[in-house]
Amino acid sequence: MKVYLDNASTTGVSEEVLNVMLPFFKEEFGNPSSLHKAGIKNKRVVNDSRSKIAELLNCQRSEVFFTSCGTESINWAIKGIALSNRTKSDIITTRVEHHATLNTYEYLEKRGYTVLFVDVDSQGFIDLDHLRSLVSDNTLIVSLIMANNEIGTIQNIKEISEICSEVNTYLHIDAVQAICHSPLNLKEMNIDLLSISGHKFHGPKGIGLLYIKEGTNITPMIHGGQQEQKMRAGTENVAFIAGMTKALEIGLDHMGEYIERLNTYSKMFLKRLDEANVDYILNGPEIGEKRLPGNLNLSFKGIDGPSLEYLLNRKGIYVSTGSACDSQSIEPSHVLVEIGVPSDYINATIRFSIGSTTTFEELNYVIDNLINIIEREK
Amino acid sequence: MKEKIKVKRLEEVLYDGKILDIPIKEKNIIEKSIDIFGDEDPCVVHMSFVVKELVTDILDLFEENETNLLNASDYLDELSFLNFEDISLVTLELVRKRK
Repeated sequence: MKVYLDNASTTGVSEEVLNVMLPFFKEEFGNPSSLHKAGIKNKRVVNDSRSKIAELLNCQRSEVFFTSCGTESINWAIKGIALSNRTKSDIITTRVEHHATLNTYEYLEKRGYTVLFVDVDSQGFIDLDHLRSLVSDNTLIVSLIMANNEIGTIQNIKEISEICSEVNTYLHIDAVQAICHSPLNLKEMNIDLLSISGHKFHGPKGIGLLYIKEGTNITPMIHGGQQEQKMRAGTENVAFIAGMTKALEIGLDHMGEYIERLNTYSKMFLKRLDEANVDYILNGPEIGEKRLPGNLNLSFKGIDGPSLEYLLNRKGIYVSTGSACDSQSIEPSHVLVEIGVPSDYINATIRFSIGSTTTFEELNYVIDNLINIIEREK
Repeated sequence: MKEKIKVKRLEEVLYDGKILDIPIKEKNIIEKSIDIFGDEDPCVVHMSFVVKELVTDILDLFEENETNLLNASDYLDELSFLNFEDISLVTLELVRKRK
C-alpha cells in the first residue's frame, strides 16, 4: 500500500483541475497579449480567472496578481514594499516563518533594515502584547504566516491587523498553507498583501498569486512586458492560472466538510497512539479551529526522526521530518526549536499531513506500521 | 535502524557500533546518490538517506540468510561499499536488540 501523508508539502492536481488545464497546452496556446482570436480568448481566460478569484477571496479583481509561486509572491510583497517606501526601516516577523520570508528579511537586513522578531508561545501563537510593543511609526512592514506549515498554528489575523493599523504599517500575510484549510475573507482581514500558492490545494505547481490592496505603494520585481497591470512582467501561464482558479473554487466549496473530516481523522490517529502507549508530543495547538486540519506534527521520545521517516518510506508511507539540512549536519527545524520542543523528543519529529483523498483504511495502515516501527526503534 | 554490528578481520575488531555508522566508502555514497537522486554533490540529508539505503542492503543480507553472522567473502559484490581493507577476510556480526 502507498499512503501519501505529505499534503502540506504539496498536493496532486485533481482530475477536474487537470481537465480545465489540458486544452491550454496544445489547442488553446495563444499568447494573451496577442490581438488575434487565439490570444484574445486566452486574455479572457486570465481575466475571468482573476475575477473569479477576487469573488472567492472577497477583494477587487484589480488587486489580484498572478505569480509563479508562493515564494515569488512573498519576495515581491516584502522587497516590493521595501523598495518603494524608503522612509521606514523596521521590518517585523517571527522566527517560525517559512524560509521564503526569513531569508527575504535576512536579505533586507544586510541592506540596512532592522529585523525585529515577535515572540511566539509554545504552540506557535504570536505574543500580541510583544507585537504591540515592537510596532512603531518606523515599522515598514509586518509579515506573518497565517497557518504555520510545520506545526499548523493558525493565527488570529484580525487582532494582528488591528495592532498594525494603529501605527499605519503594511501587513503581509503568508497564506500559502492556510488557503482552503481555514476561512479567509480579505475584506474582513484588513490586510495589505497576501500570498498564495496553487499546489497546496490541488492546483498545479508553478503558479501563485499576490493580493495587493488598492493604494499599496509597491514596486514591481520582474520587469519586461505589460502583463499584470505592468506590475509583473512575463507571458501569463494560462493553463496554470485556470487550473489554480478551479482548484481554489473546489477547495473553498468543500472546505467545511474537509475540515470536519480531517479533524475526525486526526483525533482517531492520536487516540490510537494513546491506546498503544506511544510516548509522543503533538506540536502546535490542539486539534480544532486554531490548527490546520490534517496537520499532525508529532515528536517521539528517544527515536531518530530521519530513520523513522526512512522506515515509513520503506512501507510506502510518505511523510516529512521536522529536520533541516545544515552544511554538516541534520538539524531540527527552526520552528520546533523556537517553540521549545524538548531535546529528547525534537530529533524524532514527523509531520503527517492528511489530505482530501486520504482514507480511513490508509490511516490505519500508517498507524499500525508507525506503532510497530516505534516499538522496534526505541 | 538501531541495530549494532561488530566487524572483525580474523580476531581483530575493526568496528563495533551502530550499523548506521559503519564505515562506507565515499565513492559508493556518491555513486548511490547519483543513482537515486541524480546528484553527485549530495547534501547531508540526501547523504544520510543514501547511507540508510546501503545499510538496509546489509540488513537484508542478514534477513535473507536468517543469520546474525556473515562472511564478507560470500558477498564481495554486495558488500564492496564497506570501507575495510581485505574485505574478503572480514566477518559481520549483527547484534540484535533484545525484546
